[in-house]
Amino acid sequence: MGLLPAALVVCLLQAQAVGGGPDGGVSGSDAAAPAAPADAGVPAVKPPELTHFVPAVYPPDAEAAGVAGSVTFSIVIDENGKVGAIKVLDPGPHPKFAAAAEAAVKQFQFSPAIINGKPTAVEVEYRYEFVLRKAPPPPVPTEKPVSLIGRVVERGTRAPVIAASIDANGPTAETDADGRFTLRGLPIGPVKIHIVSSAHHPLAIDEVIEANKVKEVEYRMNRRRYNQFEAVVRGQRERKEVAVHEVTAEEIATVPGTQGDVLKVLQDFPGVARAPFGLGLLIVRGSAPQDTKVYLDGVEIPLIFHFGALTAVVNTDVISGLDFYPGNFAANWGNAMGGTVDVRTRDPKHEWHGAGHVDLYDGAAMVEGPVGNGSFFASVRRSWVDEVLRAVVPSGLTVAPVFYDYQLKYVHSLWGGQGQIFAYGSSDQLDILDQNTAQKISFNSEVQFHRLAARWQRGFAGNWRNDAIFSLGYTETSNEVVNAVKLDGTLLTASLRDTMTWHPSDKFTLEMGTDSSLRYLTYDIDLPKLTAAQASSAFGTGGLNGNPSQNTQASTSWAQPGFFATASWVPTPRLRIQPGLRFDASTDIERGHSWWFDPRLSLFFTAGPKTVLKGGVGLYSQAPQPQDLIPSLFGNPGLTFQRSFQYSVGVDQKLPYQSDIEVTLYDKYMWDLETPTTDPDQITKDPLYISNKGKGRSYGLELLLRRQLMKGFYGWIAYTLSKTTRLDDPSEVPMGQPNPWHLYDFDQTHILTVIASYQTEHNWTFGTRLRYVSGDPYTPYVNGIFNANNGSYVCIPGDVNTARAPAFFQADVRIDRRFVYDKWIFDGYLDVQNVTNRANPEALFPNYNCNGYATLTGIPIFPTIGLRAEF
Amino acid sequence: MSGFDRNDQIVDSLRILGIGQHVDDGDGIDWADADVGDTIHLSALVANPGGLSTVTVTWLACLPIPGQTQPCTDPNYLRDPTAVIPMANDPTSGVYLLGQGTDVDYTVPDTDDVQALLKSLLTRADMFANAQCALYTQIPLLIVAQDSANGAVFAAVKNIRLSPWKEIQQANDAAYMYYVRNANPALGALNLDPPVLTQCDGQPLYPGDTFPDGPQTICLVVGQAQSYYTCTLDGPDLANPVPEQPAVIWYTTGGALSSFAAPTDGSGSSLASRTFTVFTRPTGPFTIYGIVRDGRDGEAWIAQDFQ
Repeated sequence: MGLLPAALVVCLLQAQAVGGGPDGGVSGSDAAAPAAPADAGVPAVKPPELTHFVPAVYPPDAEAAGVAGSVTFSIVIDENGKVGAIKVLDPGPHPKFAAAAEAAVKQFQFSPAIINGKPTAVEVEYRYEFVLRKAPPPPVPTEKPVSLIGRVVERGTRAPVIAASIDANGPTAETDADGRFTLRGLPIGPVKIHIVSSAHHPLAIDEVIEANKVKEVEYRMNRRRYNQFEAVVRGQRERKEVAVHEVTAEEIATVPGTQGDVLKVLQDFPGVARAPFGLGLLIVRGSAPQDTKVYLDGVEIPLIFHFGALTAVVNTDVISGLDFYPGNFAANWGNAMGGTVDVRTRDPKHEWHGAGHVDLYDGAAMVEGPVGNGSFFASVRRSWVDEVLRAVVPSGLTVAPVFYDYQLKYVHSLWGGQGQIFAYGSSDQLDILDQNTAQKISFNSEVQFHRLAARWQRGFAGNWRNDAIFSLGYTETSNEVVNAVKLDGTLLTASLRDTMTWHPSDKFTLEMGTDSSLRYLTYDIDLPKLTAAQASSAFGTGGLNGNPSQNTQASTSWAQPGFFATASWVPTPRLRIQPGLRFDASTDIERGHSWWFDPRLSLFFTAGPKTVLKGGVGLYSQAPQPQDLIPSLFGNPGLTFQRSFQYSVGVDQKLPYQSDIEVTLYDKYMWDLETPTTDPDQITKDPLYISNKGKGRSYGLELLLRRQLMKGFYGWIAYTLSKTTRLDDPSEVPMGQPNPWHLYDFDQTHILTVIASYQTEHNWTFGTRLRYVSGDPYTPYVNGIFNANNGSYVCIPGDVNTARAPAFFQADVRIDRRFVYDKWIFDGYLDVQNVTNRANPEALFPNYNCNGYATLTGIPIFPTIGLRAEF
Repeated sequence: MSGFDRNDQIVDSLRILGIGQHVDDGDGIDWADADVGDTIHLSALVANPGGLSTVTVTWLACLPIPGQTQPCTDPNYLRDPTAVIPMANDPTSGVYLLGQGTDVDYTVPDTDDVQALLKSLLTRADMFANAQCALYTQIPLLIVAQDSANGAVFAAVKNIRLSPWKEIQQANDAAYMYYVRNANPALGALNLDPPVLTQCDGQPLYPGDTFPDGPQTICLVVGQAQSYYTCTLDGPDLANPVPEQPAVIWYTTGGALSSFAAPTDGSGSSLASRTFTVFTRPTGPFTIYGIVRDGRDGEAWIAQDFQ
């Protein structure tokens, strides 16, 4: 929406004009024709609602010819609910329909769209329906008796069908906001009832009217397409970032290769490198996976995928969408050098609903409904991969991953605003089990987190608004090799994220707040302490050469205060300037800088009605991970912030057919990067393992050509052309030898993803995803040294990442079928990954004497069947 | 997974197949552990299709220097092992030239540094669980074989074992007195077609014997060494001492070797899987190598020629 310095919201509203009698009069729907309710309940963004309807004049020649149909517009509704620019998208079946409908639509009045609690200008699609019917009966002096009362609901979802036209071969009625209607004066005996709604298939029912009786009915209409995009508010809110990719759950729930998991689609965006084996690592613009932060409703969570990326840690049923910032994000986000992912859950519905699904890996159930004046949802998932493995592996050892997650949310009006309480949690446990005894042996790894949070949003006088989130967190990690190594840690956090927004005029907005936390870490570690020589030896160390396993139990607490301010200034209608300032500090940094101010700036220039130019520049800082600061064992207490300077420029261009293209050029310099070192501590001579002497750079081009979900079809093409390099700690090369820059481990020159999906009116969905990615760099072996103690060879690496693995290509297909019953819906899908059964190399292993390589390939053709039901 | 070269047991180029360390105390036992003052006889089993006359074997030792990596095991130096040889001229490098040839002798110097290295094992034994099973330290050797005929280079690393066995024998400290000084495995004959899996007692093959055609199961008789147990475990939780489990790695200059398929019922499978193999001879002369390692830096081998 090039001209609008505001959110772009696309939804489809519906209204009808009903053909009048022979005089050509038109009876429009006096009732407001509000936005169809969201398929997924109350949407995260509240769409505009029609509050004043003006009927269109039915073109006489069209009526005479018996022509009916609809006109589809794109209209702008400003912050006051008034209709602005109108564009005809579909003129309908008669040449005079568009003009007649446009004249009426210009007089409409809406309630404004509410985004993040404030009125916002939006662009919507609006369909005006011209429906022929016989002239209404002549007015009668007295109101006729009620013959038929009822309610029209949608099959499956049980949502009310609003503004449907009821025609009983004479008497007519319209459904209200709850789908209810009343018909009077029907003749005694058989009556044919016709029901028309623009989003549903027409319905015709035979009824028998008895004398002196009021018949009560409920009619169920079939939606033209379930998983309906018409009912989904989606699009982009006002952007603070040069590049932000926003998607809704409905839009991507059927992306092939994701098994219906919304968050897996993150890996299909530009700027995200492909992780080997589909591990779900977020490698964004050349940054390490841990450099990208993930938030769930504004609360940071430590991981986004369960073990092996089988599924995300949040049930798709409760997700409304996500924002993904690959870089140059606004000052509202910080302490991250890579990207930021903000996952949003939806608000619970006020009616009782539920859903459940099962597939090969896990099962999940969700229920929601009203509690008092508020509403809640509760969702839980548990894996059964371990049970499947036990069943199919007859003997020996096997790996048994077990995971679960849960989400609870309660929403209620509170102190003039909205209050929310939510609790999220996840647990992953990986054991190596002895199948014969079912005893845990050898290895155990577990990570779990729990978050309890309260949120309060409210607007205040003077155009102020506050959004506060306070959360308590518990994160536990445990890794143990029995009788050898133990790494246990527990992190308690108390976080506050509070954003105060001041919006005194359309030309200026100021957001400022805090993003701070208090943290308390306890750890219990058994780990042998090696000398520098032992740490670098590839030939093993035997006997008492090393120090004994050292048990370290300690705790530490620290604060990470963060503050931000972001302004949005529109000096001219075509230019928006967005400066920001971020402050991040970490009190556990003992040496070097323990705080930084990071200035950031973004510019948006509307070069044309469909073209926006944009640019961003800024500094970014990231505190060390707490475990990296643990001295003597594997950390370096002298670590400080990693830093980067990022800038990017790009263009957004609207295209025909609801498509747009976004091109971004980015460049990112990184310094003070954490990198392995063999340098010892100058005082204790203990190895430091990690230093801040690394540097890096990543630059490239990102392209996203996207067709919005419309008429059952959507898709996108994402392409990234990039190069990422690193400079290691000088101790990593022999003294006197050069320390050149080298390719980063996940440098992938070309990343191309094509996604397409089409849904028929018979609730079949067909989709495909194609991916081509350059192979990862690897370090070739230049020699093999015979280890005479055991008869094997030790491979000697050459220059870092000077070879590249073969390219990756995979095609996935998916077929969904939705069965709609009166009160529930059943889904089944077949998701086939790697349908061409291509042997993609995922890892290279050296030959016995390191003079050749063997290839470990990724998944072969892999079909998955899933079932889902909702009521 | 695909692409692995399984031809690692066919010797068709310059190779070092084994490195032995032998300490002769005059008691008739082939000891593998050395203490200060002991003379270690180091020997290399070198195979080369062109013969050994053009092969030079250089022995280097790397002594630990605090805060420094050891060139004998540092991958950065081992890109070109021949470049480590001249480092022996630099006394600060920690690299020492032990000699040249397939066999060299090295006397563990009775210096304060080495004494301290071994004594520290005893003084720190209380800090370790089961210290008596690991009361040794290792010194890495880099052995570089160079064939002047074709420029081929082959390098091996051997960690030789030093233990304060002299003091242990006189000690009465439970933390380390039960350490068993290691001896090299004792080898018997190469046997053909063993009838049972629990021992290698088939038809002995001596030099000059004819090796039959077709796939043949062969094994190597490994005697119970002086150091059959790794240590004597003491205490309520350490009641069962763990014996050594020597294993054989087979090589040949021709023919085909394949793994012995031990029965899945567990009867004798442990010994058979460690010491048996299936070999199909080539049409011409060939050599079979069997290298036994006890897992404690002790090893022995046979190299037997057949026509």
